[in-house]
Amino acid sequence: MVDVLQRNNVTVSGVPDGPALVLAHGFGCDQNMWRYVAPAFEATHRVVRFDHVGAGGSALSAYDVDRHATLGGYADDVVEILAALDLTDSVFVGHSVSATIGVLAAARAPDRIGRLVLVGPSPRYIDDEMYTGGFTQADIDGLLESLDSNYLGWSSAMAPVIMGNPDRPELGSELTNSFCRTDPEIARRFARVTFTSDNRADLAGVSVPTLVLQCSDDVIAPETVGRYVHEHIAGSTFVMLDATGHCPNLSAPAETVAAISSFLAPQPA
Amino acid sequence: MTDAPQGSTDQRSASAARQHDSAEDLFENAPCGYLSAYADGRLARVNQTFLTWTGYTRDELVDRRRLRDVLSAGSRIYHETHYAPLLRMQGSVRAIAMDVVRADGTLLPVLLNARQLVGEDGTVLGVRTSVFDASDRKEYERELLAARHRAEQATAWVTGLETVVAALAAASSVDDVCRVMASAGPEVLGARVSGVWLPGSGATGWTWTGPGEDHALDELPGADALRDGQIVTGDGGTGEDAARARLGVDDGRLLLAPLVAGDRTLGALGLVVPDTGTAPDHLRLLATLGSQAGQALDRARLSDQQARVATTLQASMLPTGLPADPRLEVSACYRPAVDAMQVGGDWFDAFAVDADRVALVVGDVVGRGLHAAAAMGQLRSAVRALATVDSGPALLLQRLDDFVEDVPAAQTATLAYAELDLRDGSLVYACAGHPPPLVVTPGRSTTPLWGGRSTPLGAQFGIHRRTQADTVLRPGSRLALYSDGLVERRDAPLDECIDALGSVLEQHAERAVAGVAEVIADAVLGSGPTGDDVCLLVIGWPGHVGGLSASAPARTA
Repeated sequence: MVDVLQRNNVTVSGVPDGPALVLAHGFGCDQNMWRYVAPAFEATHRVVRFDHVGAGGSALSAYDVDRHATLGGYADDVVEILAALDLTDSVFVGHSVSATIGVLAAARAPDRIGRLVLVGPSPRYIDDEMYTGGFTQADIDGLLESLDSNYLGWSSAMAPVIMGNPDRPELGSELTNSFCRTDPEIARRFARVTFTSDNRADLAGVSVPTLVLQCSDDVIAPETVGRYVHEHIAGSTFVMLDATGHCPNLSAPAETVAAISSFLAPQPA
Repeated sequence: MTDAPQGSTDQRSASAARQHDSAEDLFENAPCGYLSAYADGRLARVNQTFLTWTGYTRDELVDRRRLRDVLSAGSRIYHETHYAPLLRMQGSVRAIAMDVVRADGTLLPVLLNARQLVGEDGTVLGVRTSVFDASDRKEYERELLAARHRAEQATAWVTGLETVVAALAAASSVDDVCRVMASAGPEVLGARVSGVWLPGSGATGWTWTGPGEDHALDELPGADALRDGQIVTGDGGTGEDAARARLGVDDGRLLLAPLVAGDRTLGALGLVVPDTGTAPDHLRLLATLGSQAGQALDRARLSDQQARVATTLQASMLPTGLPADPRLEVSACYRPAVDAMQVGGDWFDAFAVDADRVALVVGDVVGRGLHAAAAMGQLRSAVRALATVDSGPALLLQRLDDFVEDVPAAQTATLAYAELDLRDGSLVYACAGHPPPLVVTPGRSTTPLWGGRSTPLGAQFGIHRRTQADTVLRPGSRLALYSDGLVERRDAPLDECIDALGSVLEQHAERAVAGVAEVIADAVLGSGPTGDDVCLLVIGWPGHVGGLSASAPARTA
């Protein structure tokens, strides 16, 4: 029996019997991405954070080349986490590729996810004839090369230290760039599945209230892509943030929190 | 600047150096690029070093662009997904590798160090970034990566080669060797097609063993080079076109490796590999595979040939005519070993010594294969020639001792020899190192004939005395002679096995003699394959009166 909570390094904070808010990180980092956002909800919500398998403090041994070759496999992981905590009607906040993973998870477990917040979503990164995702295949190859260059300093011997103590960054503080480290081979595979998936067709299946949070000037998920997502999810709300870049949860946590809170607040009748 | 200035000239230049080391000059012409950015990422200041490296003008960058805007697409994704989050969380990042796109579109590999400027209230005021030219490091990294790739490749090849060598060692026929090589190409060298061309039987053309259709060829490309033991890399030529057409491939490279044994080329391993698969390392590996396969092929051919000959020889020398006489019933069974190479030297025989007496023989020449089969043939003929009317078993064995002195392969053969008088059932017999014949008498338990024992042939060491014994069969009795394959079990002593065979003979005593030898062999061995030759000769003596004819058609079962 797999211990799902250990596998995904699940951390739970806030009000134990409050409504559940699940924060899912995207490609490139781990649950630390939510460090400035999570505290804002801990007074009112049961806040759940986790690391995707292969990232942060997750169990690297749980990485399954076949299961994790598609975003559906990651969505299955999410559903298992929600089931392990027995969450129902939760708010799933997915950043970047986790926005897509949230869309897939909501379709798999409609009872467990009651609302979606998609932060910088992109259902398809690579351009095709009728669609502009913002990238070409050559760009993605360049990214993989970047990953190779930057992981030369990654030492598998240090992995247990980093992976095993995500909540004690001081242990890794002597290491350069101690956050967001992961096994290079898994990072490559995750990059590939992230940037080559095409989940445009899955958007139409979303039936829960959905908020699309779009950053200004986001080169990873440009505004046109955010609007595409908004247009293809019936009844979704689109909010344009002043925050620039791809990570408003880090660069503009207050604005991000305000937008999510507003979405969650009971609507005036 | 670390050296102490000496002399007046040095003092003047030192002073000039200090003057030039103004903060402004240090910033502009520092040995690294330097970028200051506002909180939103727009560049506020860029030093001359960075401009010189990248070819941008100050106006093109300051207040207009952000760092990420001058990064390659791959680096930009990395910047947004890794670098920027890290910088936010740690306040600084160190030694991140990126590619900057120069004004002329070329790439400058750089290493970036950055620190966030944070106000007292925690808001980010800006970012300072130093930029190091990492062209050399990048080259070095590429070499490291390439070296790692080569090392991984080499490990995979060694493992693959070990597997192939082990499979070749286990291959006992030409077909086996070809099958191993057909799968070795794809597994070890990533070939799309792999198979073996061998010279056709009619001395013209080349037959194909491998996947797909029959790819037989009239001409093998580069046949002369292959004969000289060289790999043919398929650099064109009509022969190659024909070969490629035969294999049905239009891209990739055709490689032919000679299958070499000693200085002979026995055939060629044909592969179609990706264009990248012709590096010197690949060819060396291919040559090794070719020579391993050649040696295996040589062994397999020899063993195929010997096995065929041995089986044929053995079969041809077993008796086709056993004595037909109303006073005698005969049933014999010979089971060759499963593996053709394991053909041994077991034989049985039955022939008339005179009008009323019949000789019964089961023997076993030591060893296996062609030599044993040949020696068996000689020994069998010798027994027939030397068994005269008045010799009797002991004298026959002495004569055989003399005979095997000139036939080394027949030395230490074992033999059970009996002469049965069909008139009265009297039996005279001798065993040279051979398991005892068994007598099944109606109403009594089976008895081994332990008399007349002496050593195997040629093992008398100068004491030329052979012994014999006699007994009398009761009417309705049966006599069984057999080779040790029928009574040798690893898990039981010989006498227990002989008893067990006796019990089986008793169980089938009511059955007609015709065909009973096969039934008994089945009962003892099972009908499955045997690891050793087995011979069983069962004769029945009803005790009736009549005449014996020596050369009637076989009545063996």
